[in-house]
Amino acid sequence: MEQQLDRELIVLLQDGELDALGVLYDRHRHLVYRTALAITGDPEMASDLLQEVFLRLYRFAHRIDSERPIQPWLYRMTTNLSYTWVKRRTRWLHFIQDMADRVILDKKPSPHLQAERDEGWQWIQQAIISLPIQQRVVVVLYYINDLSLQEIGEILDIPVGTVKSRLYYARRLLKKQLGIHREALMKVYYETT
Amino acid sequence: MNSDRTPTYDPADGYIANALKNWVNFQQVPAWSRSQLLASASQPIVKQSSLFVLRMVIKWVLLRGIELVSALITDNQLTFIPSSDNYCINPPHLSPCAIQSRVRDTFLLEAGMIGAI
Repeated sequence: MEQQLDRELIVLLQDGELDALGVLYDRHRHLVYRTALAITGDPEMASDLLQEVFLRLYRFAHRIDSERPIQPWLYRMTTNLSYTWVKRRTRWLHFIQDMADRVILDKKPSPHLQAERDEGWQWIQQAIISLPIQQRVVVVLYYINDLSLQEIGEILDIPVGTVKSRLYYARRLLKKQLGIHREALMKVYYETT
Repeated sequence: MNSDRTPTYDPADGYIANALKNWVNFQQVPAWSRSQLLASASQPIVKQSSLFVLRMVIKWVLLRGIELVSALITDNQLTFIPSSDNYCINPPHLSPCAIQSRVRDTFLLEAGMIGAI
């Protein structure tokens, strides 16, 4: 079964074959998990979303066109569920977050200083989480999943112009958050040429 | 569309893409996830649907409860008056502190339960 194509596995899934779900999961779990993680910034939530996306794939398999690639469906479901979960969490944590921000009065360190302090990836995680959710989703699909603007537009069901606009503003914020300045970019340019 | 918003290329693209990819590629899918998925998928769908409906009903009841108490406070049927050491909720026909703890606890319980749901 591991050698079968996605469309064949979808047909099996439509017949209620649970093993097909396992194979599809093995094949696409990283795509879903990393997309969900990048959007939510929360490993536990990303794990739950991973479960939910593949559960829905199993339960709504009869609605999926087996002749079309499965990835766009997975991206669409992952982004939609991530969006919903983030909005729900934001609603409940908004008040607590405001209170915490008021208590923490010290100024945040610069992105460069933060990057030096953090041994892990907290600085990049913070940068992407600081983006508005709609821009965050576009950034994740564009930079992490290497999707084209057209593909992102189809997945999110928005015009390509809107994708471009969100990417433009997200880039501007990310540059600021990541501390990317003209000098840093020139250095990257010279190192890669 | 303004041409400067056309993101065909930006000098920061490589930097941003590398940083983001390095971050997510470093993260691993939990090992328990596959077995849990297959176990959940083998459960009857009806059970999940029933749980969803039950959660919605509980949430609706709790929200109506909060709205009711809020309406009573707004209509001055419940008013906050100073007590010796704290504030009590004082309906005109009850003693000042008689229901203070009850209302307060109900508020906290309902808010907590809605959050949990």
